[in-house]
Amino acid sequence: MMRLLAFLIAAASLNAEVITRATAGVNGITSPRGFFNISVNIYRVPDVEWVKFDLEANRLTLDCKPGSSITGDELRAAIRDAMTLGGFKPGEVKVDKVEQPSTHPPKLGWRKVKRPTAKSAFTRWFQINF
Amino acid sequence: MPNPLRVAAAAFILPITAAASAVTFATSLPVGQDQVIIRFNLQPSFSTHQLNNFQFPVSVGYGVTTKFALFAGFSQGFTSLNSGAYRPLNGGAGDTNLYARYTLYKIDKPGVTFRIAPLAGAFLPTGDNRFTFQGKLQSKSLQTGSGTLDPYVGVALGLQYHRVSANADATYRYNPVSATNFSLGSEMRFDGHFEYKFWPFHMPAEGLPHVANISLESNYFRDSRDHLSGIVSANSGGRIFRESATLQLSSLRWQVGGGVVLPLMQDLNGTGRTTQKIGYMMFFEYYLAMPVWRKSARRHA
Repeated sequence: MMRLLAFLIAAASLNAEVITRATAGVNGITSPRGFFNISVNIYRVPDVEWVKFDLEANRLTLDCKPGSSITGDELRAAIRDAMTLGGFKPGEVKVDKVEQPSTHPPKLGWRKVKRPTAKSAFTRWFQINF
Repeated sequence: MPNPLRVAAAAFILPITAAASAVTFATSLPVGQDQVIIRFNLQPSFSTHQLNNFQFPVSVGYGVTTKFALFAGFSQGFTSLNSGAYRPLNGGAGDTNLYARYTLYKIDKPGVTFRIAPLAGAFLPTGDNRFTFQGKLQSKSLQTGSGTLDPYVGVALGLQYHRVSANADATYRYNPVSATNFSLGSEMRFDGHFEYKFWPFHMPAEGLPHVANISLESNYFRDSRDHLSGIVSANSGGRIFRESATLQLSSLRWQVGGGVVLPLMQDLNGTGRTTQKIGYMMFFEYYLAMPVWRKSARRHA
């Protein structure tokens, strides 16, 4: 608690934005296709703006948008549901407050989460897939 | 002129069963809930005695739940025989394979997954089994369908690690005799698949790289004899063992690959049967999410 408080004070003093980051272990994913199964469900996790897939490390990292009020428990539950829907057993999910990165490099596996916004079911489907 | 009944097993490269993580069989293909996988295949094969076969099967998998998936195999293509004045050519849509698969047992751990999944379904008679040439009903290799609703059952297994993976299945297709006294022999097959991901040589600690792999697949077919005009054909059925090698490249949303098929054993019933020499295959697979109508996710079982 003291460490988090110190971090928040330090971040505020540097004028940096603090965001919520969740790191989840993945079970049973051995190929890019496995991450696809999860990626198409990530949009259901509220407030998540960026997602990072690490194949070798069996890890999923999600950054929430700045100012998100989602609680750790809500985030853990939503991530576990997204992984379950993908057909894989969810691993441990850790939630932290971190300083917002200046970039999310695609080379390191970062992808912006696509959120369907249309009312039409077909258009929503199209937005998720293409 | 060759006896049409002697034209044999090149068309045993059944398009319907060609797909998946393994290329030559689709039964162990992983599909998540509300996910659709579409695979387009091109499979030319060439044999002795100028029997050529070009198939363009399309395989579709849909995850109804995390454990229950539906699969469909749509086949189309043509087969030709070019031997002097005897040049039959037949093509069109083949039988459609529909089956359901339920994951009965699975283990998911970091970097490894193991699954056992029984499956059951049928081949719908969307193909044609009445092709004749010079007044004679032609054999299995020149027909596009069985003419009957054919029950289909089996079991699939899969064990996958980051670098290596293996899949296997055992399936049986029962081909009953049609009203016109025609039947392609029932088919039992066993398939095995071993895959090694060789690229990237050193997997990066972060990120999701494109992955290249080499895949070796074995297919063993044991086919019963055909019925032609009410008579059990002596020159039909038999045992075939094939080995395939493919190179594949995969990403988050697609997979592409190609390779060769070599028949290592062709123990065919009867005499003078035409044996397959070599086959090729190419495929492109794309993954799609389906629209979701459920309001809440289900918990992992």
